[in-house]
Amino acid sequence: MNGSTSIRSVTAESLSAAGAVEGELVTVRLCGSAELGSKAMLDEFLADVLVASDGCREVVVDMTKLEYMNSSALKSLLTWIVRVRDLPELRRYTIRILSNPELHWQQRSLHSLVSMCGDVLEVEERGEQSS
Amino acid sequence: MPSNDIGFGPRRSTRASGLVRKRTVRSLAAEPEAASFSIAFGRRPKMVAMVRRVVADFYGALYDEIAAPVEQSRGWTSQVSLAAAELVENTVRHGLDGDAVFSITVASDRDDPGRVHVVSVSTRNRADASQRELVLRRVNELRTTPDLFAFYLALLTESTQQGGSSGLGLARIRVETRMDLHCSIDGDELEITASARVGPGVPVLGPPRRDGPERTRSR
Repeated sequence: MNGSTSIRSVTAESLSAAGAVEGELVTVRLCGSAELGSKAMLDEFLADVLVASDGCREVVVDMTKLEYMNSSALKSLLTWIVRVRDLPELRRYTIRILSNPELHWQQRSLHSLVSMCGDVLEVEERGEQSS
Repeated sequence: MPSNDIGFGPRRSTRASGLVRKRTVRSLAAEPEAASFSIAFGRRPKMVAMVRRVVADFYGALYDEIAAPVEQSRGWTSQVSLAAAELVENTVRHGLDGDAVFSITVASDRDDPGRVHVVSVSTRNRADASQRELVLRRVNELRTTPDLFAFYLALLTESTQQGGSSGLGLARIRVETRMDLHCSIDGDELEITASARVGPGVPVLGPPRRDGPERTRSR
């Protein structure tokens, strides 16, 4: 397990990303808007998450305050999910995305990702988180 | 860099450096409820977010006016602003000189005038031959493929295996918003339009559904 690994918080353009490792659980929070100019940062951040989550049981991604994600950022997210799906079985973990039902794009975009990677990915609809 | 040029109305002429265009939007006399809005801009990445918000406000107000239920209005607004953002982003990324015109139009639906509207978002920009060909081919594929969702999943898979831009924007518009796509080429100018019908009794469409376990739950 990689419990002591930290995940660097990053901000680019209108997107901020932060993560934390707590034992076998990794939590990630994406806030703002992932648009033109934020892909490189998001790629780097998710690469950090991939390393930090080695040996974990579940990664929870809170997207309840993610107002919008463009197709490049969607590709970044999917690429990370596919990497997790392609890990050897013993190292593979579940990704649980917390989505905001009021942000309609999330339901539509995440539906496609679940259709592709439903063996490691699930989506849970939540209202906006308070903190 | 050209200054941004914004205009309202049924008849519109826009000019941006390297892109001169005269355009006539449908006659208001023929279609009393038609309205249009267009903006010309240079290669400015921040325009993408701005356009997305303007479109959301514009259509949010329209849907209020036609008294659409809140959930339906939010769904339509989300769809059209996603389409606008993807189209504008494409012009910023792939336009030949960065100059582009973005337009939104609302018109009465021919089959159900007064009750149902057709909303359209479009971009027009100069593009090189390979980009024009790529867009034309992709739009045709999206209009004719027998299994749209399978086509999209294949594109998603392909995108994770290659670097560079995602190449998903147009497919995302067609699949996730279910808006119709149309592409026209005039010399080296490329125009892409996404349109949808909105109004009472017109459902907010999402991506095509597949049978199988749905791993989404509400809490």
